[in-house]
Amino acid sequence: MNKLYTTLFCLFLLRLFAVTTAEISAAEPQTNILTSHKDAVRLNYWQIAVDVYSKDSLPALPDSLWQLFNPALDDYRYTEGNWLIKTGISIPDTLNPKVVYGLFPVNLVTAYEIYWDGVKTGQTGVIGNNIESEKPGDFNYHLPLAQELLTPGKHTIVIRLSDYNNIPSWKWYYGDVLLGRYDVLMNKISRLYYQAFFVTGILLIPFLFNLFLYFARKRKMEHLLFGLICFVVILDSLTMLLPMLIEMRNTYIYLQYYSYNVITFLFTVLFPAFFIYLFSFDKKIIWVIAAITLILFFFFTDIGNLFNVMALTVLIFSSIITMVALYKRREESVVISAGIIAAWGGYYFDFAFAGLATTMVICTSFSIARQFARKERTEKEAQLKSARLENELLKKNINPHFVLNTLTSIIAWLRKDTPSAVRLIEALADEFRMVNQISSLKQIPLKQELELCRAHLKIMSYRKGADYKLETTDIDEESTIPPMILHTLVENGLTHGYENKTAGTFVIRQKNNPGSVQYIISNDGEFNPEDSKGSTGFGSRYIMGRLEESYPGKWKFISNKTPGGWESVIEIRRS
Amino acid sequence: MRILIVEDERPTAEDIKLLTEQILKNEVTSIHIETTLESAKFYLKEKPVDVLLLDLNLNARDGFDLLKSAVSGSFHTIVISANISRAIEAFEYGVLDFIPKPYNIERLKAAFRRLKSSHALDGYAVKYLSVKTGFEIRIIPIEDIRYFKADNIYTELHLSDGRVVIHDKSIKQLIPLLPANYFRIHKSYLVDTGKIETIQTLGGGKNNVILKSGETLPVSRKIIGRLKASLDLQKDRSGRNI
Repeated sequence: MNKLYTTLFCLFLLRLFAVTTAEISAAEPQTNILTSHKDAVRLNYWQIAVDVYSKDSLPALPDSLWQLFNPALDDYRYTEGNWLIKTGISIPDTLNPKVVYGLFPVNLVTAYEIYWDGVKTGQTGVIGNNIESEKPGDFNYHLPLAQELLTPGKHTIVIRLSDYNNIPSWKWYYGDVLLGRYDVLMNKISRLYYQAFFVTGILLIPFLFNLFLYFARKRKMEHLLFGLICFVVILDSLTMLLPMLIEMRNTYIYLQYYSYNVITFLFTVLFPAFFIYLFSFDKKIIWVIAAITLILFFFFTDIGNLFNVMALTVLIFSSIITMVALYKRREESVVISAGIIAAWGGYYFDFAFAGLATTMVICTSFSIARQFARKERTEKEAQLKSARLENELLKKNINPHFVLNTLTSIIAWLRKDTPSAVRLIEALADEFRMVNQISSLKQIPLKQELELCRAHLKIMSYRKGADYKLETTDIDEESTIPPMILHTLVENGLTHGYENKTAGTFVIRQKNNPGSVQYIISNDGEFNPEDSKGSTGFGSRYIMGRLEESYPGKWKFISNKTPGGWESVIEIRRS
Repeated sequence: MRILIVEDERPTAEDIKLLTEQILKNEVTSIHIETTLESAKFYLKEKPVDVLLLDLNLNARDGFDLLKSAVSGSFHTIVISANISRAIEAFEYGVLDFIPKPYNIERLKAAFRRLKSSHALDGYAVKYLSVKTGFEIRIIPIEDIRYFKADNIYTELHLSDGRVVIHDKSIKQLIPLLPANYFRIHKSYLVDTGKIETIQTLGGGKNNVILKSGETLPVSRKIIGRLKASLDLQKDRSGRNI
């Protein structure tokens, strides 16, 4: 984020430059002043003259040829050509002889020579009169000044420059020149670079982490967006750091400018988009924001106000989204609001992007960490719940009472009718085998569920000395449902509706509606009026637990006494 | 002997009937099956029985309410159930025996033998007696009973607060349910030996016991020897304990 500070640093200067030149264009030429207790001064009050290209030394031009420089006048004139620019510097007192001073051109293109009191003291690149003859200068060009040049009194600085190799949208006069203590200015520059390295290093971790999370966690967009935000800020830092890492011509300035534009735009769109996802708002809003940002970007920004306008835009969008989130009491909206407030503070201190990026990375990391903790908790709860459902499933069918009563019945049948006893044992084995197969599954084919119901009805027919049947209509046997929910309904019906009946029919129907599927389970049992509460009790709890596990929020379960018995309806909505 | 089997699985009920008939042979005068709680209650109201064979878990409903009213009746209750978790509680309320499922003929035989036993099995004795008072069932802890007095085919329970309530079972029927320290001192009297203060010897081989609560009850001649021995034994025990 502090890399953006660098950008700001440069463009901040530009902005002042524009303002001050506008101010002085009407006034008398003034001069810059460097005193012994000043670290640095930005050179203003430039005059300009068109230069005639030659390899000769500096021509002595009459004052009448110089005019006050005002970039607001004729943009096109400064895209390509040779110029001389000049300003005065006044040193009222004796400077400390132990301190080295230097000239620091910033963003000045393409090739130039520096003359101090008419004597050529420095040069970067080679001045030319076309793209071939001109050689661009160094990106990191600084000129230490010899002690004897800085005597008290008035001095003239002339810069002779040519600009052919640069790309036209960047004008040389966007550049700036600082005069000051060499050590202090060098320190400032290296500090900016260190900060940029620091930021890159720090953001690399959340970037990689969120990228990994995006792929690991079912492609959750907020992780991708947050990773991208980090990546954009890293790109910004790298844009600044590149000339520091490798030798760069100062034509890189254009690339840098272009890159900052894109990055600023991305940043302005990505942050609100991230909030939209974080707070689960309508994703279409992102397109509206992107469109507004694009319009602002192309029609309402220029080199001087780009950062300001974009910083305001991103702050306003983010604030609105966060306020709505706060109003709707979305998770994490409080933490993010704190970050937004801090970001406004940063904006006030001309620190908008850096401030926003910093506070946002902190707040969102915090909130993502919290979300994680929460998610882990709910996942654990869900796991526990699944385990409990599985346990209930097993308990329902392999519960000791069921087994002991069935064994008792088997013994009774053995004494009376051995083949029946064998068939009962087989039905019991069938049911157990199926329960064993499905106990750990969350979904089973309907076919298997129906077999399970049939096996159970067979067992109970032998046990009760009755005849219970299962009929099905319109069943799609390949569709799947959570295990043992129909079985539970059959079992419940059998337990409560057939005390006095020795025959019973259970009917399971499937009804496919446009947006949902219904399973209707009915029977012809006799139920007491007080049994009509229906949807409480262990069986219903199991069914509802299973439905919620498989179709969260998309199911309905109705269970009611009917004139001829009992009917339960399970409805599952598709998506 | 008139027997009612209450069991919601008819094949099992019929099996129990078969085994019961094998055990009791011609002692059985009638044997009947009911498969629901309601029909069982109805049957009990209408027809006298001597032994009720009861499954506690009928169609997933708690048979304990039926049990509490059944044990207040003039017949004995034997529970046959897979749900043994409430066996102790069933004994405390006065069931004669509790047969876990799956049962077998030996276990059933043992249960019927207990009909003639002189006291409950160690640790399985009744703790409460259910008494019908009007339409409700009153539960009386047995330590609140000073003594039992025969009243025709019923038994008077003389309570520590001075009241007397009637239990539908005869003294003979109560004996197999009560712990070993309950002693039938007379054809008409049954007391907890722990509640006897002293034995009063009258002339002519007649004896009385004086209870700690003050009552004087007659002791039958045939019993006095065993009663004294049993009291001595208790004294010994308590002496050793001290």
